[in-house]
Amino acid sequence: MYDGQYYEKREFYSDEGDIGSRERTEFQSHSITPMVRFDFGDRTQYSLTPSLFYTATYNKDVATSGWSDGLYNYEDLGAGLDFDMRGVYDDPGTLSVGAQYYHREYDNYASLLSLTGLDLVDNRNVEKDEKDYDGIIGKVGYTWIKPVGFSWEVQYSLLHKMLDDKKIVNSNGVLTGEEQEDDLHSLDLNFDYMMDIGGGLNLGLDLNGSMYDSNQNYWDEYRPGTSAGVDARKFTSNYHDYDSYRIRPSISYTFPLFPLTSTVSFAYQETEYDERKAEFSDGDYKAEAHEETREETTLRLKYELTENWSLIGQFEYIEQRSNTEDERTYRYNYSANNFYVGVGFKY
Amino acid sequence: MKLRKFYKLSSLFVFVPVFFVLCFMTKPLGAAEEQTPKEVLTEELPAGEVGEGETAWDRLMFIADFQAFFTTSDVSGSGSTDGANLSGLFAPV
Repeated sequence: MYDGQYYEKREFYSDEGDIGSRERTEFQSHSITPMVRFDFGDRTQYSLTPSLFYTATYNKDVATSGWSDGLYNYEDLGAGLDFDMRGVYDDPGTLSVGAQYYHREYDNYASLLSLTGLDLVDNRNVEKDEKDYDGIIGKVGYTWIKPVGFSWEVQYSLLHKMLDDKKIVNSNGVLTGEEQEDDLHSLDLNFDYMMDIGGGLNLGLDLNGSMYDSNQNYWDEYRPGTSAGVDARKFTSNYHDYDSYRIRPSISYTFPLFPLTSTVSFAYQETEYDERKAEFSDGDYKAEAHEETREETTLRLKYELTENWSLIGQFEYIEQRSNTEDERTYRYNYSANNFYVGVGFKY
Repeated sequence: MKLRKFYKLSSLFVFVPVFFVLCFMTKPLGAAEEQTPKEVLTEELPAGEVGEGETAWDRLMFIADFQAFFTTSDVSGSGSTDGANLSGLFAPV
């Protein structure tokens, strides 16, 4: 299977565990996944799907000009195994269990420590590839899909990241021998109710909860310590840990007399960090934890020209807000409008 | 605090798959009483047309999903960009 995309769009993006977002104008990703599905059991009720996959992503950041310069460009190489069991509890039900292992490399990302070229203290130059990691994903899910009526699905996934050479910083600002390991827990619940009322009215509700848990801390060398002479303000434990939830209701209607489907959706997401503090515009810490909220409103029209071809128009409005006001390095507060007009083809 | 929350969530996450596995164990699938697709086809086909069917090559199909858009986007305080949005999925099945 090949899955690829390219788009030219002004947006902010970030990776899990990053401090803030970078701006980009173009993005492309290409994923190749050779896989074979073995069906077995009575009525071919079970299937086992081993797969290999390779993914490459490229960014044109605002500050760079070439595809090969994107700071967060990465490549994944890995393998997966998925097991599906159909007809669980009844015909519409499918139980899925899967696991993946992959290695991710960020070719352009190097730590500031390694860029200094200094080797002042032991361990100072060991973080050259500080974002590269080995990842293991385990997931289990259940889907109950019906063409008309109530459908739902639930999926839990755990991503365990083992960073190649990112060391843990301790409360004295010294790198230890311990290496960074992160866990991302995600739970998705999606509900749909399709009503056949002379066309098709679909009501949807998607819920997501995530929890990020890392053993990494944070040391800000340039932040003044407290008046008592202790560097408590320079050190933040569990700096990357956060909890996040997202709720996305949607409504979609397909007209009975002509093949036009209109969809409206609204998504609200809130992320709260456990220990990271919000900052004033001058960089000083606030008393409260850093929080981010994101709202996305989407309007979409799709007109089926033929069985395979369709015309599509879409508008998105995104509003991102945070209680951190310091935007000298990263943007936390902005709004964005995106318009799309084009065609779709399915076979 | 994080650890306690982790254990709470973990217990929920363990409960969900265990629940489904128990559902699977306690409900008979009933598959043994039903006919296989081959048996159904064999009964419905006229006499003399029952055979081994198509080869794997004959059964090969493709799925494709492509989208192409003109896009325009703007971000407050950063400016706007016009361009293209292309996405594609292609797979033999």
